[in-house]
Amino acid sequence: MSLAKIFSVSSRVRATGASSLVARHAQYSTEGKVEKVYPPNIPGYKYVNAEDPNMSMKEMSNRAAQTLFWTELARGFAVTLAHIFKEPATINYPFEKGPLSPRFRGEHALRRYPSGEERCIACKLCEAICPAQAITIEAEERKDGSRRTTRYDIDMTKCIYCGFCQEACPVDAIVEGPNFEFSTETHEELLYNKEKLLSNGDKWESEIATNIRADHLYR
Amino acid sequence: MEACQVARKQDLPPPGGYKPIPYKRVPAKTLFSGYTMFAGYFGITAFAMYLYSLNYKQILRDQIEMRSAKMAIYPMLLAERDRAYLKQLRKNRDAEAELMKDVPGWEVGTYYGEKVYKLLPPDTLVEPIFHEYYAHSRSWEWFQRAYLKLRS
Amino acid sequence: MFMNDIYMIFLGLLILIIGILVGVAYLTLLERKVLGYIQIRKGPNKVGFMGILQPFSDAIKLFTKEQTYPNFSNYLSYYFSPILSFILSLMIWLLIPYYFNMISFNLGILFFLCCTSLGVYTVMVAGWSSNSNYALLGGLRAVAQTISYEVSLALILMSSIIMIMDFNLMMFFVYQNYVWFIILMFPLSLCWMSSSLAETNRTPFDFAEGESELVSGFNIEYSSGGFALIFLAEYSSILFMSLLFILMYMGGFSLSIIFYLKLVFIFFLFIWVRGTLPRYRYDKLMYLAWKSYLPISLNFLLFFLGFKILLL
Repeated sequence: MSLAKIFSVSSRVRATGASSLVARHAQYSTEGKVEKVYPPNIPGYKYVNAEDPNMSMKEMSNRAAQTLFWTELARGFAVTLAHIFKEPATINYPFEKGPLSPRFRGEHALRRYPSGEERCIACKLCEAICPAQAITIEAEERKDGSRRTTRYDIDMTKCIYCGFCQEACPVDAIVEGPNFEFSTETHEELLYNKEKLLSNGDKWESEIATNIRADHLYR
Repeated sequence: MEACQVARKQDLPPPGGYKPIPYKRVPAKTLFSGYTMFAGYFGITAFAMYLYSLNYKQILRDQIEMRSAKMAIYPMLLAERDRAYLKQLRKNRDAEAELMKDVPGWEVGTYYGEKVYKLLPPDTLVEPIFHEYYAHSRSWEWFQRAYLKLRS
Repeated sequence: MFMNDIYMIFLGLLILIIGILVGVAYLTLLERKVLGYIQIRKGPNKVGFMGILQPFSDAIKLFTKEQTYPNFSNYLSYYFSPILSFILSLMIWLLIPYYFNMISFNLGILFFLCCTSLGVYTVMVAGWSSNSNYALLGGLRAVAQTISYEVSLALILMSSIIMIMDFNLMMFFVYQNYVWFIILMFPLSLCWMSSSLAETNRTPFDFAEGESELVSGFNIEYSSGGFALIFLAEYSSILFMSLLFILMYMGGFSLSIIFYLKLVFIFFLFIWVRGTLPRYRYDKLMYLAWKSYLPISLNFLLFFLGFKILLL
């Protein structure tokens, strides 16, 4: 790589010309300072390494005072002191909750049709796409001849909440609802089976339906 | 579907585009230059040194006062100590006289009239040993003195 | 009488220790609260009334947790170094400027230097005996940093010793009747402040627990009680450092309430610094100790020595 490329700055700066470059040590006056340019006198090239500080007596005493009396640090302290008296940006969490996007991917649920028939047709697309292989499905033909799952397990401790399952589902059966407060005390309670997922679906159906409707334009 | 008839409104930048981002460093206003701060520092330190010297002189005076007070009170303390000592010796003598009054031929301060220190002049004060000094007092007084502790 | 004295001494020390522990507990709460408000959030505000009981809840949680220990650690030294560091940091509180049985600690400043120097060993042993790379590196860093800053700390202390001509901490009260030493030696007090920040491994200089590179420093392998003891030792030494700052530079008498308000302010300053400044760089830290604070404190020492000779 040529030297010119190493020392070149972006095209925008080159377009504005080298004269308007921001000087380092902007807090001190610039008298007695020479901006170093390498290679010299070619517009668009700028010396980017650390420069020697200004060694005039006034500037030196300014720097010494700043270090010795913590003037710059004191300014920083003033900023944080001002932050103490600002209104906290938090909410009183368990009693107040923040807004959630309709696309929020929380706890899984299996939905039903309004008639009460479960939506899942055991196509196993979700099982196939799940990158964490958290979903296990077994299927059989039901007595009325329709194809249904006999087993639909999700290991919530494997799940990475990517949302691929709900994207893969052709009938909107498996969805990730807005619930994110489902912590348990044991590992076993997080191995969801079909019953648990369906009851989730019954419990959160109104919210899930609202979210899907709110998002329908983008689907 | 009737929902699809709603006019779509895409999020766009404001007409004319966004304003340029102010990335340039705005240096804080310098209230005092280095010279002023050093001058102020030297002034304050000189004044503090003056105050410190006043304080130091005050402390020296206090020390002298405390020392002279100690010196003034020392003879009195010494006299009081001697007086207490002599009172205790007298108490010991009286206690011995009371204790040995039934013994025939017993003279206080001697062994049946025989002097303990034969070569000393008769009016010399012989300081009793520690246990003899406390011989007629209560045991805890002896204990307190023997195992002298602060505040006891 | 004399057994009575012994009981009273024990009682006094017990009250002192309880006072320190409760103080440390509430300083952790203060730290969490102040840091919270600096970062425009609230600190702990649920346990008890407005989070008053939070430190005790934390302590109970820590001590009831399972204590793990690494498989190939040097068990005895691993187990006892937090205990030792805790005991050392409590021992240093014997220096609290107060007349125990009408006695004050006559060579207190020397005792302080001894205790802080010994504190280094506990960190070193804790880091080494955990048999973990991170713990070892964190311990080494902490030891190098603490030893370097002890030099500047001792030299800054020397100026104050010259000013009071005594090793007794009580003498600071007498000598600051007219003017606080912070006015007399302002840059030196700032040096002391940052040196004590470095000495106690506080934030701009918290390289012992550089989270980004050394998970948690020398105390990674400690859990439950061991960790709690290390934590208590650190915070009580911070508290003592702020006490020493007040003593040395801000005068006042230790039995007045103003003294303790100043103490809280200095601890607030420690937290404030933590909320404001980002972490320094390790080589710069060393340069700061050896190339800035050492010459500065030596120069000031000479200056005050001359001043004192002038006064004699």
